[in-house]
Amino acid sequence: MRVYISLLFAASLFCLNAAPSVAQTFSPPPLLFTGMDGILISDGGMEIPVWGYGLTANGYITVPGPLLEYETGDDVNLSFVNNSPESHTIHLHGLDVDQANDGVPTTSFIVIQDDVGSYEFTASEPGTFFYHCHVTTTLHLTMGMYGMILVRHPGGILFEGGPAYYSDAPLLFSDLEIATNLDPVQSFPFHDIRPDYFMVNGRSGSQLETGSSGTPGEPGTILSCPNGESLALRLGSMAYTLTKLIIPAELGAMCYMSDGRPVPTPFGVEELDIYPGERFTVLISPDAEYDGTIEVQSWDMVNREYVHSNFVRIRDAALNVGDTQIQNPLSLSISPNPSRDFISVNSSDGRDLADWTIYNTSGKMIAKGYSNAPSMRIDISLFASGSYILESINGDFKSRARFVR
Amino acid sequence: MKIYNMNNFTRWGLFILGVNLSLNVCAQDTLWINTGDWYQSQDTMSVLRFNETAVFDTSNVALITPADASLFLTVINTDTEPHDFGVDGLWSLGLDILPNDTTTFEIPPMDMGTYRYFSSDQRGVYLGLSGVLKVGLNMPHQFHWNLADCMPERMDSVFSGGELLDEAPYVPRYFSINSYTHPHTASDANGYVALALGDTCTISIVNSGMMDHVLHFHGFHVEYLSTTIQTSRIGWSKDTVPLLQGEGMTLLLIANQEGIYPVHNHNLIAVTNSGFYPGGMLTHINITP
Repeated sequence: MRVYISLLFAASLFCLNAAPSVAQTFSPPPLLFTGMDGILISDGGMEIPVWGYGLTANGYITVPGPLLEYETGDDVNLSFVNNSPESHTIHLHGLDVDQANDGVPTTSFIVIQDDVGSYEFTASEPGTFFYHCHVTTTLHLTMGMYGMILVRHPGGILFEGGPAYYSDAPLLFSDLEIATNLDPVQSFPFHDIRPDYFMVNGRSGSQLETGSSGTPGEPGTILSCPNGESLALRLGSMAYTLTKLIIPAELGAMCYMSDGRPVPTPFGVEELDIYPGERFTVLISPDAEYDGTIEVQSWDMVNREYVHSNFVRIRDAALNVGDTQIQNPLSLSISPNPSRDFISVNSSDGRDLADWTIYNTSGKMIAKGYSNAPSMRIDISLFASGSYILESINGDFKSRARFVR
Repeated sequence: MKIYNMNNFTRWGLFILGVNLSLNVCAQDTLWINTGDWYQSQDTMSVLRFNETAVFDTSNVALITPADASLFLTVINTDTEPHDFGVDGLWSLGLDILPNDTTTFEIPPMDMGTYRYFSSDQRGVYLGLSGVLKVGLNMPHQFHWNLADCMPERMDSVFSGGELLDEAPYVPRYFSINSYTHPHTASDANGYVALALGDTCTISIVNSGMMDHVLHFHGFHVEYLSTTIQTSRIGWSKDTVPLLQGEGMTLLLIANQEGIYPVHNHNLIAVTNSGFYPGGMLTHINITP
């Protein structure tokens, strides 16, 4: 029986929503299971076979596997049952565990079908880590057998003496070669695996903006942070490609950690290369009313060529629908949308649009004006292609709408 | 820079290994550019190597010199084509060493660290004339890893003097450390890290390949002591270490737990031999009580 992955559930498990997380220290840790009969629904609706880890209590696997969360100093016993016909392990990537718990078949142990494997370690250092299968690793990783481990330091700080932050936003970058996943038995040779599907937390393209249901603005797919607070981006790559992040300056991004250790001198970052297996912790503090995206580029490692971009949307929590800082919201409609030349803007309750401003997705003001009518027409023919936000303020009435050129 | 051209080889024979020399002491060494065959799985590749003697060896020899002292180097070219010589990003000879010719020159003092010495001509690049240069490293336990990737078809074309089709996709099939691929990396005394519990060592790494590589250490974090490109990372402690094309790097490893732990490329196409897993850029750290 194939287990169909619910991306909605996967997203909630993986905390794409960066609202303050409920403390989840699993002690004893969750019992995982491995499966080789999962399906990843691609952006575009293609069913891609995947292997992976899941929580036994849930009964389905996800790509990536469930986020495992611990606190510094926790003594962990992590176990999984192998429900698949092929042997698997768990390698605790970056946790510097001893040989017996390292998850490498030739130096540790292997878990055969229907057997249970247990790994013991102390989460001695806070930071971002991975777990992944180390059996025929080149194949098992492209099939999806990996997940992130987050070790939090108590007290809401990154590490002893480190900065405080509001909440965590784990972002695991990975990829796969669709042909390999469709036919892993015939996937040899492994040296020419060239990924052609690129993911952030198992999602790609429009899935990152709209959620798997295709509902625009679905809660849980946008990273939000109140103005004045810091969001901890827990960044890591399980890809076969180089991941290059383009981070808008308005986010004030500062890198504090890499590979589960503080960097000696934190540094500002607007472009960050993440090679396969690396992790970084970057704090961002979005400007007031920021609504933009971090671009996640994938680059071929062999020929160092750009191949793809995904976008992770970040916004000031004040911009979220229903937020109390948006007073007396009125509805705006924009048509046609998308448009290349002109848009017509209308307020549904007949109020004047008054002061209006258009921002791009990096939060930069593109145009502004004043209208003493409830509708107006704006020439956007000289705008660059992309998404924009139109904001209208009439006294205490404030509203926003999004359009695409 | 001083250059001496000699038709008759004179080997000075002072090979400095882990000796702390004072300022103004010159290191001297000799390199032979040799041709030979490199056997991997079902492929036999004609390659070039910098060797200590006229006898071909599959690994490029590591040069070791003190910091703040000139290195006097004699290079004897036994290949049929001329080759240049340089230290990546730092120094270049500026002329070719002709076939069957011998050239002696002086490389100015360098800062402590690990560098790539190499020939940058097409034949040198594709056929493997690239090695590890260790400067001012005096720790009793030292290892070095010369990372490389290769595509036999391109090597054959270059060796035979044929046209190199740069527009053809580069699809490397072998990924090596000191010209060893797993499982043979276990027999490489320079690369297989064997230590006793409590020991400390340096690992000097150069990326001689055509692409970036990224090494993941099981069981340990390592500290960046030097690097020629990603200099902002000096002092970082990491378990996953990218090496950009041409980069030289010195890492510090403290053997603080017993056991056998892999170190491997985490671009997982590179832990294969002609597509077969496991293989390629994979070695081990072995810490005994």
